[in-house]
Amino acid sequence: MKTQVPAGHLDYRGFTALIVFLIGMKIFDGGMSFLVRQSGHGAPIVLTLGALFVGAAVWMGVKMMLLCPGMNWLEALSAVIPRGFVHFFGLFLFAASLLDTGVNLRLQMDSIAVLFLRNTPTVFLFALFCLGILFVAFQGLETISRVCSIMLPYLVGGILLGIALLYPYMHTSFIYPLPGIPVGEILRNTMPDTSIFAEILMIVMLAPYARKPKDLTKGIIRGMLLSYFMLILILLLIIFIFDADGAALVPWPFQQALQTIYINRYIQHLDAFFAFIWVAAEFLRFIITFYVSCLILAIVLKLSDHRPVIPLNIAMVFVIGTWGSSIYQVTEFRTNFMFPFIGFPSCAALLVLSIYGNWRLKKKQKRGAKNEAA
Amino acid sequence: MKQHKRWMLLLPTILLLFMTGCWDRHELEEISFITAVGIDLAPGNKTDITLQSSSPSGQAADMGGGGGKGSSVDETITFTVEGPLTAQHLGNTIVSRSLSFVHMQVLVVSEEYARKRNILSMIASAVREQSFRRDMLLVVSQGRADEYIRKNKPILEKFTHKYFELIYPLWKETGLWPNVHLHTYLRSVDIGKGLPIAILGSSQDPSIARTKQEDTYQNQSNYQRQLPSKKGDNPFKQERQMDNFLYGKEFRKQGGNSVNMMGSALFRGGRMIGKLGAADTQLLLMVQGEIMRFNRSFTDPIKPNQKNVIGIHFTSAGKPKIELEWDGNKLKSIHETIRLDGRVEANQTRTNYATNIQNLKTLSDHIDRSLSKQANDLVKEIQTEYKGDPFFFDWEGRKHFHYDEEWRRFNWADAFSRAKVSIDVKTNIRFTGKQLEEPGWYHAVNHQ
Repeated sequence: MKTQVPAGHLDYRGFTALIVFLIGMKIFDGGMSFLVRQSGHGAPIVLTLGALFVGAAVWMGVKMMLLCPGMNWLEALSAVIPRGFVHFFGLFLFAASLLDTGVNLRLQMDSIAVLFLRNTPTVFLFALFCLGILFVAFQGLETISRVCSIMLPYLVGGILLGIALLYPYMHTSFIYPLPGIPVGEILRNTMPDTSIFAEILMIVMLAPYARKPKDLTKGIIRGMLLSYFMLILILLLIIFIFDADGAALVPWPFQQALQTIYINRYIQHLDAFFAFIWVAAEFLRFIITFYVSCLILAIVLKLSDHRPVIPLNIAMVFVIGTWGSSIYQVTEFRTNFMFPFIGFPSCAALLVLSIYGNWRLKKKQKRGAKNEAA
Repeated sequence: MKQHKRWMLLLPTILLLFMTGCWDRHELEEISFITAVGIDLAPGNKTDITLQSSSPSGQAADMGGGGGKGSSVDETITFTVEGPLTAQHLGNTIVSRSLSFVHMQVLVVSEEYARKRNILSMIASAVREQSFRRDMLLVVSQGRADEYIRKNKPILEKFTHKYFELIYPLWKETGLWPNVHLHTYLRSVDIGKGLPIAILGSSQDPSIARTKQEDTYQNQSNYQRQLPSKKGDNPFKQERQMDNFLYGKEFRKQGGNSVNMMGSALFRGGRMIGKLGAADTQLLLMVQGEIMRFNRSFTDPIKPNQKNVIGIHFTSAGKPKIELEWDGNKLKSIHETIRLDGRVEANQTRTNYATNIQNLKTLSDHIDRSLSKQANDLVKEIQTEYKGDPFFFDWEGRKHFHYDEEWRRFNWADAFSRAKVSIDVKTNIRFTGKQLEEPGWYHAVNHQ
């Protein structure tokens, strides 16, 4: 089961950057608008509960992996759960990460086409991104994480700059009515909305590449916190600018808000600068999701090297991404299928299986210690 | 390491290849930027769309850059169409360059159109367009919109769109027109509780305005017509109409640009329902808590019967404090306290307000009562005449509710119209200018 991947080693900075690019980048996609459309003024509460749920799940996952040093989450799981189930779950994760890459990449290309390049065919943009991803995926995980680490300060700085420049357009009273929706609805909406953090599962698959176990835990804590703060800040920002009812009507509220920035007659149209950060950051996000999908497939197929599956995977991403005929069809697929049937079950599985794995592994260890003593 | 550096240098060059814009690549020479769009009523239930476009290369030539032929870079065309996008395409049957809304500065809607049609049907379809931005100004012209755009001939600017770019931020200095972008208008519509507002503009020639005095009178709302002008009437009401031109009437001028911005247009959703004069716009902005600086004239409280006035420059001293009183889900009253800092800018009365603290206190009390009364009168008039809230009180009102559905169902306009509203203005006169008294004061006093 163990796969040897020439991927290098990651320190905590690498893990932090990977998580931020995987999860924090949701500020740019339609996820923010979806959250507000679904939960109205209750969206920040729903997002926070989702983060707490996924935080608990990933904490249990990390705890389990610390009991099995040098293994990824699936490998650690196979020590306590029937192999067939682990294989099946591995295939599910592979399909999920591939769909995540294909569908979200397609939606990003559509948003670029709507907001900036209306004459350029989406297929061409999609193919261009796929080529880029194909090239970078061969460079390995360490290269990807380093690029993410380099890019992270620019991303965070750019977002903070955007928030500062948008301050004059914000009205904090738009946060009311609070909590916006009844408690039952908050809990019900939290389930599909945990999908926003579902990519954290990909990080637990990268655990063996941590330089030290501490790098993994530190990286995950920092990455999760930074991603959460980015998401909640932008969510609050769009509510403060558009009000929840207004934000629900625009598919990319953050980008639309950035278009209104006016410093003076010499400095206008700053959204072009943010568009550059956005496209670069999204490119990195999809490289990570794609790379992890290749890694999972290699693990499931028991390959010693993940590189042979890269061309096949990119072809599948291309097919998935170009499948839907319109942005509405793809968005509906993501909202009605991926969020409830892939995102939430993945996070729930991470929590449940990790709790079970922890319990079994600790039991095994105790038994082993007893046997040794005997 | 050396090779790494070489790659780092090469990277931006390679990246440039990906920044050409693919199919969306345009040479600057091929684009004409629409800077203003006008919307008017046209016969046969159609719409007249006016597009004013500018070519960047022509501007560069005018500014001393290369390329282009130089002067006359603006082109204004009016089409009778069904919708704005058709107009953009029709524009390209005449203009040889691709038309882009990216640098659009102002959307002008004629008052007639805004009163008879729902402007949202036009705007809502336009905001879907990729290059249509939410940061443009929304102006309602008291005349035809195409006239407003065509007559815009700024004296100090070479380019018409710069006029709007430069004049608009001056609302902060004067408060004579509201701080409204398309975004703020659409946000108000989305919230759906208050009355959205737009900037009121006019392109009417002063001579025409004088001959149409009666029309102007007819267009004024009841409360405007009822204002007394007789001497001996309530001084606060007199002060409200003291600078008569601020009060919704055409102001007389000679020279300069033919167009102006002054006052606000009140909407209910997408339909215009009324307008406020410049002085009332100042009051509106003051109650909204948006005002930054403005000037107002007052009668002398110590010598009330003389004609001379005192000019005060106000600056906001912080966000207003708003308290709402509820009886269950019934809004009972709204109380707002507004704090302003004042500066005596002009004193024609020769009353000593510079060194006599008692006089200054009398003046300050008078201003407080006057501005409070004026603001309360305006609120009352809007409550009774328009039955809606353009003051953003709903931003406070929403805090009373816990659920979105509850708040959406709540009829704020009705609740606001029935509520007892009291505005309390507190002014602190901090400065009396750099002159203690008018020049020649001692001489004048001795002479008296």
